[in-house]
Amino acid sequence: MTRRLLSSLLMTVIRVIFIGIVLGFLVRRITSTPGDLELGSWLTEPWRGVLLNRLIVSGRVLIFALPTILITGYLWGIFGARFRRLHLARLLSLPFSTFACVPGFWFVILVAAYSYFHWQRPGFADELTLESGPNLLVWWHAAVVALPAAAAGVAWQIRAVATHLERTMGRPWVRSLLLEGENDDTIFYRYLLRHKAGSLISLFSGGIPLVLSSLIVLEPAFHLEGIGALLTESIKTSSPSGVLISAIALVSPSILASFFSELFPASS
Amino acid sequence: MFLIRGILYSLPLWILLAGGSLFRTVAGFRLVAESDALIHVISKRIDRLSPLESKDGVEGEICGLLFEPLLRRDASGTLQPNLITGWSFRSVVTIRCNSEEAAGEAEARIRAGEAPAKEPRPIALERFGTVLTLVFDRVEPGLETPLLEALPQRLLGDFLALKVASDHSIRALISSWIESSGKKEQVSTVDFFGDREASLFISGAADPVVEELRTYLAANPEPKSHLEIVGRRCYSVDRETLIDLRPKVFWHDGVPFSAEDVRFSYDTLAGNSSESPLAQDFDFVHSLEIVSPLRLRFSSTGMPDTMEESWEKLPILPAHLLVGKKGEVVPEAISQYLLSPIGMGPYRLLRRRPDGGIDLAANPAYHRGVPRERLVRYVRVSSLEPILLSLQDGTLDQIEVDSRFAGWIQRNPGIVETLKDIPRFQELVVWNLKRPPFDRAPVRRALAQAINLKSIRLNDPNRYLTASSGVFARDAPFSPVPMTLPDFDPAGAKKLLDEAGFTVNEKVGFRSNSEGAACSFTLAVDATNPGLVTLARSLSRQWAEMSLRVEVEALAPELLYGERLPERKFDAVLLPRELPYGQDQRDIWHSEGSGNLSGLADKEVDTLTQSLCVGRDVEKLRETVERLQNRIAELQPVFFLGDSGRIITLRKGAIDIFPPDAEHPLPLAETTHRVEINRPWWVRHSPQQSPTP
Repeated sequence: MTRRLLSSLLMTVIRVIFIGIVLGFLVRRITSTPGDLELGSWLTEPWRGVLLNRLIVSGRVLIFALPTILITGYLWGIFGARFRRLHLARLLSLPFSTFACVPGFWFVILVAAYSYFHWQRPGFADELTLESGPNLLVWWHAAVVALPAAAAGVAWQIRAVATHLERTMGRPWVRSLLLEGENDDTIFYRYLLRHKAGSLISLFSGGIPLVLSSLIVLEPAFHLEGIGALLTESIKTSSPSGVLISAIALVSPSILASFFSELFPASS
Repeated sequence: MFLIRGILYSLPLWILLAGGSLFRTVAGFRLVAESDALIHVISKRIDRLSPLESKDGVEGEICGLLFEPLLRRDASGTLQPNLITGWSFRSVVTIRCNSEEAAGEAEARIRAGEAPAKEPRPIALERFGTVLTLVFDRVEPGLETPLLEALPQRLLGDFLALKVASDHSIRALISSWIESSGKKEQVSTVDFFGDREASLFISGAADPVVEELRTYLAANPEPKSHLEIVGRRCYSVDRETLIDLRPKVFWHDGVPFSAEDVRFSYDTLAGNSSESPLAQDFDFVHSLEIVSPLRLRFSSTGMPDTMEESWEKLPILPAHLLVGKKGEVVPEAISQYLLSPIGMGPYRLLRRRPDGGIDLAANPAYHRGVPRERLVRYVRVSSLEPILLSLQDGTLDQIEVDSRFAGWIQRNPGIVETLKDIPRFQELVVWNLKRPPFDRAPVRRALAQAINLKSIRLNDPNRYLTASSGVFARDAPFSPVPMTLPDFDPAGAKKLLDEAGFTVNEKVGFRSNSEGAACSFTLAVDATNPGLVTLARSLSRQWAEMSLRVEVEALAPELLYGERLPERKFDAVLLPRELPYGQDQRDIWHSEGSGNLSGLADKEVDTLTQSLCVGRDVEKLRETVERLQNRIAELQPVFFLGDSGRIITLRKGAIDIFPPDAEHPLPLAETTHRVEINRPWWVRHSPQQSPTP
C-alpha cells in the first residue's frame, strides 16, 4: 500500500510539473501584461467571486455528468460482461459511442434551436431567468450540457468495465471453477466481481478528463457561464490570470481522480 | 436477487426518465410570464443607482423614476415647485444703538409707527441690550434706509464696520484674534455669516484695531482671508429665506420626507465644509436651519437670481438611512443605499433581478398621483432571437437595440417604432489652453475646421449625435439661435496651420514648427466608454489626414476624472457634458470656475457669465447668451462635436401616456416634450382604455 501511495504521489508530481510547463507556455504566449501574472491578482476578490460562480455552474454539469458516467458505465459494463456471448457491452455502448461522434456543440445548439421553434422562447442558457419557484431552469441547462459531455465517457466506461471483466473470464482459475461445476452466474457475481472490485474501481477516473475537456467547447456554445467558458473567454481577451485559474480548475479534478485511482490495484 | 439486479441494470433508464420529466417541466417556461408589467429589455447589468450622478440612457431613466427633485422643469424648461412648494423672503436688520436707553427709545418709536415713516414696516421686532433686531417680509436694496432716517442720529451707535471674508472657514481665526487682542473691548459685535464671512463693529478709535487685525490676518495666511473696511455704520442687513416643503411626501420605505432630509443633503453635498463641486453653487448660503418639519430657513447676504437653480441641483438623500446614531454619515449605509436606493419618485425599487435587471413597482404614495402602470421590469437579455420572438408576441414593450437589430428591422418593418429624446448631453473636445499649440486660437480653429462632423458617428445604436446648437439645453427658456461653429474646411485648416508656423515636414510626414517641435498631441478619453473611444479614434484619423500626429489615450475613469482633469494633466480630452438649463455658467466658462477645464481666461466671457447670473428677463438673458455663445465659438476653447440624445425603441403602439388626472390615455407619438416629463405616466397600450376615434 505504501509503495502504491508513493508511486501515486510521484505520478501526481510528474503530472503537475508537466501541466505547469504546458500552462506556463500557454500563458506566456498570451501574456500582454506581466503584472497580471502575479499570484495576488488571482486571489483578489473579483477573481474569487468569478471563480466561485463559475465553479457552481460547472459543478451542476458535473453533478449530472459524472454520476451518469459512473452509474451507467459500471452497471451496463457489468451487465454487458455478464452476457458477453451476446456482445451486449458493445450493443449497450453503441448509442453512446454514436452520440459521442456528434460534436457536442452541435447538440447544444440544436437544443437551443428546438427551444426557439417549439417552445417560442430562448434556447441558450443565458437568456431566460426564472421569476419564481425552484430554479429548475439551471438544472435543465446543466443537463443539456451534461448529456453530450457524458456520452463519450459512458461509452468508454461501459467498454472498459466490460472488457476488463471479459478478459478475466478467460483466466485459468475461472475455467477451473467451471470444471468444478460452478454455474456461470455464480462464478460471475460471487467470484469474479468480488475478486476484481478493486481494479474495477481504479477505472473510475477515465471519464472525468473527457467531461472536463468537453466543457471547454460545450459551455461557450450553450452560453453557459461555467469554468470552460471562462477559459475560452480568457483566451479571447488575452487574460493570463483567467487562463491560469480556469485551466487549473479544469485540470485539478483529473489529477486528483488519477491519484486516487492509482491507490487501487492496477486494472490491467 | 433477480429483482435487485433488474432494478440496478435499469437504473440508467430511470435517469433518462427523470431527464424527460425535466424536459417537460421546462417546456412551459416563458421569457416573460407576466402580462401586467411594462417590459423593457436591456443589454447591460444595472449597477449602482445614484441620485448624485447625471446619467442618460436606461440608468438615467430608472433614476428619474426612483428619485424626486426639489424643483422640476416643465415642458418649457421653466422651474416649477415640486418638493419645495414655496419661498418666503425676509430681511433681518440689526441696529446697534448708543446705549440701552437709546435702544429702548428707538424700540418705542418703531412700535409707535414713527419709524420707518413709510412702507415697508417690520413684521417683528426684538431688543436685546443695545441691539435691535427687525424683520421685514421682503428683500430689496435700501430697505433699511427709511428706518434709519426716521430714527434720531443720537440714538444710533457710532462704529466702524469691517468685513472679513475667505474661501474657507474663518470662525476659529476671528474668535482666536478677539480672545488674544488687547483691544477686544473696542470690538462691539461680531456677526458671522456662515463660516466664511464675518462683520465686526469697532467702537472708538478704530485705526489701531484695524491695523492689529490686518497684521494678525497677514500672520495667518491660511485660510486666505480678505479684510474690507465697510465704513461708519451701526447696522447690518441679513437676508433670510424660508423654504416650505410639500407635506404628505414619503420615502419609498414609508418614512415622511422632512426638512431634516434637506438639511442633511445640504450639509453633506453642498455645505460650507463640503468639498463637493455643488458647494460652489451654494456659496450664497451662510447657514441653513430647520424651523419645523416642513420648513427651513437659510440666511444669506445677497439673494442671487440663480438661487432656484442651485436648489434644483441639490439631490435629496434620506437622512434616516444614512446618518448614524451620533449624527455621522455611515459609509456602509451609503454603499448599501446605492445598491438598493430609496427615493420619493413615482416608482420604487421592488428587487434586483437575477439576470442583472431591475423590477420597479408604482409608488402608492407618490404626491403627483399613483402611476397607472403598476410594474416596470427591466429584463436583461443578451441574445437577439428571444427579443425578436417576444416583440412579435407582444410581450415586450421597449428594447435597447444593438447593431444586429438594424438588419432585422429592415426585414420586418412595422414592428417597432423609435422615439428621439431631446439631446441632453454634448460631446466636446476640451483643449488645454495652457499647453502649446492650443494656446493659439488659429490652431484651435484649424483643428475644428479639419473635422468633417457629418462623417462621425456614435458607436451606440441607442444614441444619436446632432450638430451642437449652443452651450445650453435646447429647451432652456433663454436658449437663443444656434451658435455658429467652424465649418468643415480642410483647405482653410491647412492654411491656418501653415500661417501658425506648423508646416509639413516632408522627412517625417508630420507638421512641425520652425524649431522642429512637432504639432502632435494626445487625446484622452474614458476607456470604459466604447462609444467615445471610437469617436476619439475617428477624430484622430481625420487629424492625421492634416499631417497632425494625434495619439488616443484611453484612460481608466479613476485616472481621468480623479487625477488628469483636476490637475489638468492633458493636451486634449474628449468628454460628454450635460447640457445645462441654468443661467449660471461661471463654473464652466469663467476664468475662476472650478470646472473650467480648458483654462479659458477671457475678460469678455467672464463679464458675460457674470451678467448672465443677474436678472430674469428672458429676452435680456437670450441676448447675453447669444453674445456668450458667439464669443466662445470665436475663441474655440473647446471643440463642439455635437449634442447627443437617446433613441428609444418601442414596440409599435405599445405605449400610451396616461397621467393620473387624465380620463383617457394619449398615444406616445402625440407628445413632443422631453421623455422624462411623461415617463412616469407611460402605460402599456390597452384598447379598452383608449378613447374611440
